[in-house]
Amino acid sequence: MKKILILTLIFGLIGLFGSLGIQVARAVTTDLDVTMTAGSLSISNSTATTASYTGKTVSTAEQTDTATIGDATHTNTTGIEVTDLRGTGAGWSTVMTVTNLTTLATQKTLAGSNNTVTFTGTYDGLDGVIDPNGTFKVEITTGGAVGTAVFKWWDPAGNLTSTVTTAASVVLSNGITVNFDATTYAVDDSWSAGVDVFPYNYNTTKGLTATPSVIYANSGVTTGVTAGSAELMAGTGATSDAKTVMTATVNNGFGDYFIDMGLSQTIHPNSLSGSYTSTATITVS
Amino acid sequence: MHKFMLLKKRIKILLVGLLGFFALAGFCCAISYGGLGIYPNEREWDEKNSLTKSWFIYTLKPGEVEEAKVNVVNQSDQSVEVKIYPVDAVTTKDGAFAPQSEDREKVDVGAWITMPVSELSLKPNETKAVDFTIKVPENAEVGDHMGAIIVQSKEAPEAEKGTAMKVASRVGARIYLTVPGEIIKELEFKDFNWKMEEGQVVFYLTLANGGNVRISPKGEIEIKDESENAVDKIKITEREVFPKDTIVLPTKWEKTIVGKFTALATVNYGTEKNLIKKLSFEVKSAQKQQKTFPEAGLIVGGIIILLIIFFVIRKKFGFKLVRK
Repeated sequence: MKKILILTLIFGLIGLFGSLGIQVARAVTTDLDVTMTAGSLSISNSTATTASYTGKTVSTAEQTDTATIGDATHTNTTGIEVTDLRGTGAGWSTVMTVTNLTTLATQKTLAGSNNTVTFTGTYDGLDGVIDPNGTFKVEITTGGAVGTAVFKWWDPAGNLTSTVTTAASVVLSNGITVNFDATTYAVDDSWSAGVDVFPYNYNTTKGLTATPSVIYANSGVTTGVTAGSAELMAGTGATSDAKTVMTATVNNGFGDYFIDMGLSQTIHPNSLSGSYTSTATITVS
Repeated sequence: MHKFMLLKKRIKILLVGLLGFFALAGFCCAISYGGLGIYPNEREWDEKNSLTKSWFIYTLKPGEVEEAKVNVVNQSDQSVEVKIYPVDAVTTKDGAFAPQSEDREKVDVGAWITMPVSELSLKPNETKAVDFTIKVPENAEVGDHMGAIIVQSKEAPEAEKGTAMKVASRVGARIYLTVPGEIIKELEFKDFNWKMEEGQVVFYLTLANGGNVRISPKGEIEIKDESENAVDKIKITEREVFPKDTIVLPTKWEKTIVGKFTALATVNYGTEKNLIKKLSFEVKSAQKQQKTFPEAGLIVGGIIILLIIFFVIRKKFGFKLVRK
């Protein structure tokens, strides 16, 4: 039985190599070519649509809160995904900007009986950290229905704007809008809403520090693909300056790459309680 | 007999479970893969320059108008509504290409572009070509001007409850536009510094572009010990310095070791002249070099092979480890 099996194996191998030889002999005159169509450079954050901070309790002392865009495992397909299927070797860069982490508190009626005014929008945080916390304040100066009544308002920095006619919605400043429900308003009716900010650039050493993780190549190699360094976000506007997330040099970065981003945010003392939100925009080009 | 049946049943369950697991894993990969893509339309490609398949590269005189086309692709298996818009480009402070935010004022290439559409609907795996026009102003400065066409999902990300950062992503096709004239290519190597970061030396090269074209500096840092023996040579990170801009280029010394050293940085940017700076530094403690995965794999694999050889020889020749 054993001998039969060995003989079968030997004959099988002879047959295999023999037929391969015939195929090679037949193929020598055949031209082989293939055209690879270029794909595109793309980005996806479907596995990292939000980064949740751990949450802190309001304190008299400064604190630090942390979050991660992606997850703590840096060798998986969770996180920011960059795919280069262009096949041109042009290289690419991935950068990130952020907005300030801000909150808008529910309005308080300071005077009058109408609880029909609300404040909406996303505060841009450009007034900086104000202690005690900043507030938007609205006060009726001429009574009447919506569209007739007139009001004045103060921004968190205390700047006054007078003689504004009421409407269903009136844009104030810094991303905040005041909304008047249909009713009759009386002189001196007044409302306010607190706002607070954990700025991305609190000062030159505090704010939001973004730390890119190591890079995971789901397809391709990491040669020439490098992560940016840990950096305090910089800038003066509502949106920060761009920070390097990862880059691929010329003739590198073919494939599919994942990276996570660690976030460490300074929380100032005596802040407003509530949920704070910001937006990170990741761009690949 | 009963035990055999039980074992057979367990093997069946295991096989079905494994099949289910791999099928699910395949499904998970399928939904996580794919996003928005953008690249120059085929008619923009110049076969002599493969980079034109990735970026828009133009030389246009003041007053000249270029009609162009960009392809936008939805690589996901879901329909998507997208915004498309032009922006100016800058670099990050370490020299990575960075298209500006949508809300930033446009003063350069971004302001010279007009697009007939600002929003698109894309079906799963659909590609659409979008026209745009670049009109270079009469008073445009000679030299390089950078920008990008950006595509981004219209749907704003929803924040989870509590304090959170919402994450949005964009993809851009770069635009490198040169206005011809007297080209000035001038780079200054302003500073050469170092810092210890996570147990590794990171060199920082401050480079200022005094010219009117972008520069991609190349070069290396040679590290020598106290006896002037070469210890290591590292390539500087490849980045860009835009006209009238300054970047601080970080370059890691991956094999940082303890000791006193000198580092000689040589930077060149396509001219005959090399820019050189030197510094002395001392490393008092360094991160231990970790074995990389392939190295560790080789060691483990080697041990296993040696063990197999040992046991095969032992069985074949009947060696026994006998204590006398």
